[in-house]
Amino acid sequence: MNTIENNSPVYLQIAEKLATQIFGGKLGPGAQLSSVREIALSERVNPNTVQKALGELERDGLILSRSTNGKFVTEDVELIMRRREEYAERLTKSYEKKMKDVGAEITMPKIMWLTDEQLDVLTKPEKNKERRKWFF
Amino acid sequence: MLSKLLKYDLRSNFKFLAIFYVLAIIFAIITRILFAVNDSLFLTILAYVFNGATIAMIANILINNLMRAWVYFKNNLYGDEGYLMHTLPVPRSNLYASKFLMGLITMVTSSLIIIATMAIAWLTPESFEGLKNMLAPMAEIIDSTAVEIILLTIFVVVLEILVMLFSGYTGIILGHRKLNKRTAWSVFIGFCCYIVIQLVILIGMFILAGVKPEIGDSLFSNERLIPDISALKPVFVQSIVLYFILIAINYMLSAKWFKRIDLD
Amino acid sequence: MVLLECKDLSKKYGKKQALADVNLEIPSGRIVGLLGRNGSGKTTLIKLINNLLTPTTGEVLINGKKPGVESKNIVSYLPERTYFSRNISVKKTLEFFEDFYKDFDLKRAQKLLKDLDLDEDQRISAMSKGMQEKVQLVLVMSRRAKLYILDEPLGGVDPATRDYILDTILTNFNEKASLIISTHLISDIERILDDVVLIDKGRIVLHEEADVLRTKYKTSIDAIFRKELKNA
Repeated sequence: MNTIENNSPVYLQIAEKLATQIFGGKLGPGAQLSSVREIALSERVNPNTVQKALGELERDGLILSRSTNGKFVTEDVELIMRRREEYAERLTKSYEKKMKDVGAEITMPKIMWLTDEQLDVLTKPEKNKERRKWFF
Repeated sequence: MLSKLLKYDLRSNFKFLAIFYVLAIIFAIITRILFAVNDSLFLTILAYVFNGATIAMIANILINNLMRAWVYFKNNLYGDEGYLMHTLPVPRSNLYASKFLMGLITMVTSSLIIIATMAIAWLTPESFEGLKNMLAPMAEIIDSTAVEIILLTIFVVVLEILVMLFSGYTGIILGHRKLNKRTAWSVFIGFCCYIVIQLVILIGMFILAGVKPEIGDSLFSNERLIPDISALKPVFVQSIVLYFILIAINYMLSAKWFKRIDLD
Repeated sequence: MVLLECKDLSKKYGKKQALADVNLEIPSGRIVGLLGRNGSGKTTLIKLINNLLTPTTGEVLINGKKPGVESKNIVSYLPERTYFSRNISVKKTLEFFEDFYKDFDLKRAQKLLKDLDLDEDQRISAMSKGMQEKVQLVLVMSRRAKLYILDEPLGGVDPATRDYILDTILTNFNEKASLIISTHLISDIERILDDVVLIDKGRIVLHEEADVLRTKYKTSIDAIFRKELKNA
C-alpha cells in the first residue's frame, strides 16, 4: 500500500503502512523510527495524524517510545511475529470476503513465511547486488 | 507604528504627486525665461502657452492632491488593500491618524509648491510692489501689512481645502457603512459634511456679528461696496480658530466612526 | 487551550442573514478544514475572525481576547483577495511585512520564494494572478503565528504548486499553532485535516474529527460533504 486514500481513517492507514514495514523487515526489531514531522512530510499528512498512528502501534506493542530519543520498533521478535500473523489473517479474511462478494469460494491458503534471507533479498535488492559484485 | 504607516502613506502619495510638482516648477521656470527674453512674436505666444500650462499645473496639483487622497483612502482602507491594512497589528485609530496626517502633510507641501511655482513664474520686484500697493490701503486700515494679509489669505484657503479633504474622508467612512451604492453615498455624505462645516462657520460669523456690530455691518450690510475693512482681521482670526475647532471635531468623530467597518 | 472561540456569532447584511449563531472552539495544535459551498458563509466567518466585519451579535475571542492589536499579532491571514498595491516589487512586500510583523521570518520567506521560482525584483503588476497568490501565501506562511487562517489558498494554483503549498504548510507549521483552511476543493487537502467544520447557509452543520467521520461514514470527507449538503 503506497498511497494514502481519503475514504478510510488516515491514521489507520499510516499505522498499517508502518506495521507493514515492521513485518516486512524494512524496520527491523529495535530500529528507530523517523520523527513524526518527517513521516508527516513524506506521507503528506498532518503530524497529529502520525502521532495518533504511532499511538495505535504503541498500543499494539509494536513500537516503544524512549522518552527523549524518539520511537523504536520493539525488540520482542515473538510479538512482531504474532502481530504479523494476525495481520496476515486479517488480510486473508478480507480477501476471502471480497472473493465471496464476486461469487468465488476460496479455501484459506496456508501462509508460507519467507526466511530472513529471502526477505533480505526482497527488501534490500541493491545491497545484494552490491554484495554479488564483490564476489565476482 | 503610526510613523511606519505614515511612511508608507506619504511615500505612495508623494510618488504620485512628485511628477506634478516637477512639471509645475519646470513650466514656471520656462514661463519666466520666455517672458524675460520675449524678443519675438513666437516667443511671446510660447510664453503665454507656458503661462497657461503653469496655471493648469497649479490647478492640477490641487485637484490631484485632493482626488488622490480620497481615492487612496478608499482603496487602501476599504478596497482589497484594506484586507492587509486592517489585519496589521496596529490600532485602528492609527490607520485613520496616518491618513489624516498624510492629507495634511501633502496638502501643505502642495501649497508650498504652488506658492513657489507662482513666485518663480510671476514674482518680480514690480509685481510684488504692485500687489503691495493694491493691498496697502486695506493693510493701513486694519493695522497690518500687505504681507500679513497675503499670508492670512493663504492660510484660510489651505484650511478650506483641508476641510474639503477631511469631509471627503468622513463621507467615505460613513458611505462604506451602507450596504450598497457605497461610492454614491460617500460622495453625498462627504458633500453634506462639507456643507455642514461651511454652515457652522457662517453661523459663527453671525454670532460674531451679533457680538461686534461693526463686523456685522461690514459682512452683511447692503452697502457692500464700502465695507468697514477694519473688521477683516478679526474675521480672519475667528474663522481660522473655527476651522481648527471644526477640523478637530471632524477628526474625532471620523476616527470614532472608523472603528466600525464592514469590508466588501 | 482554546485558541479561537466564536460565541453566538451572527452577521446580517440588511435582511440577509450571512451567518447565524455560530459557536465554535478551535484549540491549539489543530489543522481545521472550513468546508462549504460558495456563499455558505465561510468567508464571512473568516472576515469576522479577522476584524474586517463588525458582528451583528455575538463575539470572537482569540486567545481569550477580542480582536485587536494583540490578536493581529498572532493571527496570520491569507484572504482570497490580492491585497498589495500593484506597482511595488516583491522585495518591497517583504520589507512591509518585516516592518509590521515581529514574527516575520525573512529568511524563510526568501527561501520559499526561491523554491517557487518567484523573482524578488519583479513587480506585483507584472505577475499573473497565480503568482501573486503564491507571493501572498509565502508571506503569510513565513510568519511564526499562533493561528493561520487561509481562505481558499488553492483556488488558482496548478497541482504541482498545490502539493508544494501543502508541504509548505506541513513543514512550517509548529505544533502549538492552529490552522484554519477554507476550501471547496476538499479532496486535495482532506488528508492533512484534523478536524472538519462544515458550514451551510450561514450555520455550522458539522464539526468533527476527520478520522472519526471517515470511521463513521466509511468514506472520504469529500463524499460526506457532498452527501450532507444534498440532504440539507
